[in-house]
Amino acid sequence: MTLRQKRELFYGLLFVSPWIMGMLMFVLYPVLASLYYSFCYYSVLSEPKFIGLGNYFDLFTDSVFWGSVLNTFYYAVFALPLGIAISVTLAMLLTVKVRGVTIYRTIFFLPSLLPVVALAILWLWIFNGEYGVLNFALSKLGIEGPNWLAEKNWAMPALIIMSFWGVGHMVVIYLASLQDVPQVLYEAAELDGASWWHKARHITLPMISPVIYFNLIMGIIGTLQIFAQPYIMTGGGPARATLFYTMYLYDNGFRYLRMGYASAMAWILFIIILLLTLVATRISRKYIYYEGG
Amino acid sequence: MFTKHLKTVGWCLVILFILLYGPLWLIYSNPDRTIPPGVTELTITTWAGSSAEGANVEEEIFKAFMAENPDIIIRNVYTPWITYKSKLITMFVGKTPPDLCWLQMESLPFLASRGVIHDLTDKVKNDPELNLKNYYPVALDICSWQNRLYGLPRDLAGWFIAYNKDLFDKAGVAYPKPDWTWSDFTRIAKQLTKDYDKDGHTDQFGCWWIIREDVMLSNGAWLLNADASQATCDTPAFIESVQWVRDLTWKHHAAPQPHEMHSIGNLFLNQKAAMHYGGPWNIASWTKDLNFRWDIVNTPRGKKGNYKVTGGLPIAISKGTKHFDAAYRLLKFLCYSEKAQRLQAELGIAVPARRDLARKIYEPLPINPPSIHLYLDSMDKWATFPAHGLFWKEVDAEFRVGWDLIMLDKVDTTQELRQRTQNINNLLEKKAALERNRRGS
Repeated sequence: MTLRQKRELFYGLLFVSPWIMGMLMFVLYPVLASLYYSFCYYSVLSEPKFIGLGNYFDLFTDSVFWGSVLNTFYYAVFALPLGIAISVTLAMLLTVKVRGVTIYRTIFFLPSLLPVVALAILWLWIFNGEYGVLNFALSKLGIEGPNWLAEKNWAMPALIIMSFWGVGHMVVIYLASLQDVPQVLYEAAELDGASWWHKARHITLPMISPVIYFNLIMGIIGTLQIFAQPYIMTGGGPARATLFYTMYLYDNGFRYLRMGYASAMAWILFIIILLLTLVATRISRKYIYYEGG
Repeated sequence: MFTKHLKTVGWCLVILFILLYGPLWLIYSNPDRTIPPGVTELTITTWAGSSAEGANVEEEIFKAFMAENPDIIIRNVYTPWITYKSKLITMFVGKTPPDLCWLQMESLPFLASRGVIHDLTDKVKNDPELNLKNYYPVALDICSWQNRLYGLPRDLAGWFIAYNKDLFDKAGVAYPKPDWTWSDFTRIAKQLTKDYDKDGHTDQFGCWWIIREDVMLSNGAWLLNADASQATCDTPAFIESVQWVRDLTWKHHAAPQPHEMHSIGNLFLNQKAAMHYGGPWNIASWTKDLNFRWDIVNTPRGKKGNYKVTGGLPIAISKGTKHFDAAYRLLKFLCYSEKAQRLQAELGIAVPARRDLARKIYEPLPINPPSIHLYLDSMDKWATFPAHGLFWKEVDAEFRVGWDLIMLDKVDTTQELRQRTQNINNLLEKKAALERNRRGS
């Protein structure tokens, strides 16, 4: 290494040192500490006591833990694919050249700008069984709406429906990727007599598949970590019907002060997300089309 | 050229980092260095509610103390109620505990069991300036754990029932009598429940929501046994209490059902419910804001009398304090001196924990409703939650699942409570084993 290279390395390290220090102190250390605490009985005010895999074994016999896992997957299995389907469909509709299309695009994007708390309060009103606008609309169609958030069987579907409110972000990304699909492909397909469905199935979807894959990965991470909306809207109720994984993790860590147990939960969640991402990546090799090869 | 600019930007970032964090590091590595010689700084943690009024009251009280004690200055660490416990525990864990701390009631056993707050039993008993008999008995209960005193009480708060006199008059229903029972409550609530436009939807409820613990305790029932080692929510008295609340809501529909309570605001304030559980913390705003005539009455009597769930504010001294004597002086001022108790009463926060001062200072306050004397009369008979135990939050969370199902009218009350009893007992057994493990026994 020349003197000049050494000097550049020194300056480089010096200039990124504020970030490195922040990362070491506020990311790496807590991550490693949580790994250690996951093997400890740690009630925060007492010294952590090493118990090996005790917390992990306890979790496997904890029915509330399994309930929260089930709830989280229930939510993810419906919210994520449906969210992707809705946003792709909307994006495709918004590429149709009609008057005022930019206004429609803005309208679909606007809701996703709303802060989480305001959104939760708004939906509390929409879902109100007695006075909510949703049940009012259903009543006009002759349907008696359920007591959404107050019913054990309806609280989760309500949260899934609410999750579609934020598809605007995904729609914008799909819109951008749809602009990149070469028009010549559609023209060639039209010459061959392809229908709208065939063009969508054989051109549009393969061409935007890398973006769908990106949204899928982000969606897996996001839906498995859902916290704020159910925490504000239902607090996990009724009867733990909307107690999500991260909420139970939070309860253990900050309400019951079982930080070792909560740390074990955090690591299990990390492993689940990692595995699902790896699976998605593996599958993507077969189904995702990259233009560059 | 680019490299040169990059270097300038880089140096700027490093300097900015040092300028930002350097002073913070200096201050927090030696917090006493800005304090004048001979003066002690005491840190106290308090919580603030949604309004700034509470914070201002505390500042006034602290100013009064500092005027009397120029050798002490107080640093008040405010935290919102919802994150208070986390903040306090973080301070203890981070070895920067406050000298004194307000405590949420269920936190006291936990902190006492962890040995991070001072056992004040002997100190207080040997203090000639302090007569514990001046306190309401329940006020000392909320500061105690395993018969030792870990703090002093500043104020007390228990539920009362507020009622809308206009709605009572409109319905031609007599106001509740001070010695009323839960049966009277049901009868009155039913009389005040109205569907004025006959559309099948209730326009006015007899009462807003019910504090289930009051019903249970006045009926001689509680979730846990005396030493908090076993669940007792399958006893006949407990089942009867829960069934009463369920019937009030579903059979008589005199209180809103769960779906009718979601996000629709407070029906009492909107004159859509004739009665409402409330406490001293409501009085100032209700006196100011309500545009109807109202008064209060004690909660109804059950088989075991008028047992009121009591809250209050214990203040404790941290074991990590370097200024115990100064902290104790402040504690006595906040919780025992007439000046502080008067300030907090007059500024409308809460009822003093001292019996003599509650009558002398709090009762004559003009903001109080007419029957406040009946409320104060009952305070000598108040009792705190019988047994919290160390795992109260988990026990409560487990019970709430059953409560939710019962209040959704989906399950049989008796069977569900038996199931919860079993679940809570399993949970307590597991927790007890963990606690033994922690102690290494």
